[in-house]
Amino acid sequence: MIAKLTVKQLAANKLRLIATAFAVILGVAFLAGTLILTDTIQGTFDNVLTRADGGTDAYIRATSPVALGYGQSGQPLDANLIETVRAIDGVDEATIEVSGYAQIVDKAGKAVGKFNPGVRGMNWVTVPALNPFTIGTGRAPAGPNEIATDQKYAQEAGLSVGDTTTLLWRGAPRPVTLVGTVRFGNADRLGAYSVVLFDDVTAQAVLNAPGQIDAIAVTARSDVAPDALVARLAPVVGARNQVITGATLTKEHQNRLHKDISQFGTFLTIFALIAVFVGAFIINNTFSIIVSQRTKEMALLRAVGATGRQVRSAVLAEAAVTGILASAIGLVAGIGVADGIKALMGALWCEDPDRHPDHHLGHRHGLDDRRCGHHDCVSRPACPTGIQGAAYRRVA
Amino acid sequence: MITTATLTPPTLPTTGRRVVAVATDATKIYGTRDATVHALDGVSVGFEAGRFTAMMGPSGSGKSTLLHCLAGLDSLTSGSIRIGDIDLGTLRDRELTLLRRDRIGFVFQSFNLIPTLNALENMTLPMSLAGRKPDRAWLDQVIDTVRLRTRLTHRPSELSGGQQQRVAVARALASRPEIIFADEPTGNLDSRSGAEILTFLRNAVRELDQTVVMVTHDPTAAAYADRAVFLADGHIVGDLHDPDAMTVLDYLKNTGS
Repeated sequence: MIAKLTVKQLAANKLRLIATAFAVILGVAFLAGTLILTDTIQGTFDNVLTRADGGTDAYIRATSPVALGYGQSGQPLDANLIETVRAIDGVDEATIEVSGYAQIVDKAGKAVGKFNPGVRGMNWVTVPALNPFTIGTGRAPAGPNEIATDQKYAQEAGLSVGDTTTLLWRGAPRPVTLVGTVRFGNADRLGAYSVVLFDDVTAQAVLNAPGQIDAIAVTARSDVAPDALVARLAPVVGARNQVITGATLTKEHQNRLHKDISQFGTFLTIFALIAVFVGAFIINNTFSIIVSQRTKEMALLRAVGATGRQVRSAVLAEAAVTGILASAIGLVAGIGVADGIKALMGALWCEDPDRHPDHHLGHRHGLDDRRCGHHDCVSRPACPTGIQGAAYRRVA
Repeated sequence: MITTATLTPPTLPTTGRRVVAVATDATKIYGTRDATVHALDGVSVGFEAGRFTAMMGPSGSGKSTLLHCLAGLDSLTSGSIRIGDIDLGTLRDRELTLLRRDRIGFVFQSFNLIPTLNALENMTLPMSLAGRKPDRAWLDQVIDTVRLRTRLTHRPSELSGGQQQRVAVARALASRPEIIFADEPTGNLDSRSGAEILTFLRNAVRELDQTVVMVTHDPTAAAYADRAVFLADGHIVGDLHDPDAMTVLDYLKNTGS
């Protein structure tokens, strides 16, 4: 009977429960939304990182004595090491990786591209399996006076293939010729970054120092397992350097990323908990009002023979049903909240990682800025959590 | 003109019927210290089975307080109330609740139906709370007595005041209680509906052998009863048998109550 009465009361008094239900829905939605969002972001970046490192079977870099911050590279490696690596049985292909500052000017002589975060110089990787870029127009750069840029950067500078411009770098500005433009997957640039590409030797000279590189990426012959390859490479890389598998590299990236995301998650969870905390007062308050409005009815029930326990359980059941239904709605709404936060992040700070997943493929090339990655966001404030930075961070 | 009234307060009636409810030296004091009010000041009265009793008196005479204490809705400061052979003063809250549920019916001035339940569900509410099935034959008899056969599935909001009070009367009768207490049951009704309710209460006593104690200050209502008990200032000041409106009015005039 009490159950039936509860159901009837709920059905008859939907309106007065709306405020309570609304508070529950909001609180649950924010909390669920936060959890869903962080999980989704994590999953997305995990996939991106896995794809990005997918071609790499072994990775050689300097052993860094301390944890490196964003964009810090370890000690440079000796470029000659790559010959030693190539000679190892089981190595299919290998490439050096170099990155640093390089920028071009437009026809009016003005530097193009925002210095920070946007402009990077890199070496053009000749191994397709290890190169995130493809040639769009023209050809790959070769020689000290040739560069390629991403299509967007060339467009911004008003340059076509064959045009001459001035290269800004650590040294004195010098004339270079644009011999090709590159694409990043289907996009005409790598996220927010403008890249200037050089051949391997030029890259060392311009971006680092001749004979100095940041890392070596290696693919294994199809009959050699990555672990075996690493084992063979380990003795030859030298004491100051280390070699890890591509999977380990991915794992490292993911772990660092997870830490960032969990910070981000904590940040959001605090807001969600505040919502729940405030919501609790609203819920308590409105429900108290609802109950006190019904004092007369409860007194009547007591007068005609309802025990205190029966009246209590009727109220509790009503609260429970309201809470459970509202929570279920809140959970569904949380999916919407997650999408909403993602959209907001994209609009205010960060690129939606789902929208341009290809952008993240280039992270290994030293796109080390912790600012947001997308061209739409370049002028916007930094992503507060380094989520994007994690994906774009320099790995050297 | 004083007719058959006994001017000394009666304790027990002497018709030889079984006594269902008895108040002995019932005292109820509200407030503390300087601000105390003696709502009941040593009232002793009994109510016999199968009789319809009206309790009369001006506002503040203590009649409603006595009714509430008799029905186990309120407690005495001192003295005792017995329903059947049970002393209400010895019962804990839960036992008192069960006593109200199973052995007492109550009709309120303001109907007091549950708005979300239909007429039939309201009638059987005490039994539903007890988890018991109503006695079908008895319930049918009650429904016919209050003539609500065609209104059973209506919600209170779909019923007139008179019909709502008939539902309330049926609720009081449906569990076949030992005694029914009615607190100004016609107070919120027009005279026609009021007369109907009083007729049903009288029929319940005459035809269904129920026991009804009703508080009223309407002499016309008291005329439906077999007996009228008069209270003033927390005392019983008179007791009339087979009252009619005129004798009640006369009595009220002469006692000044």
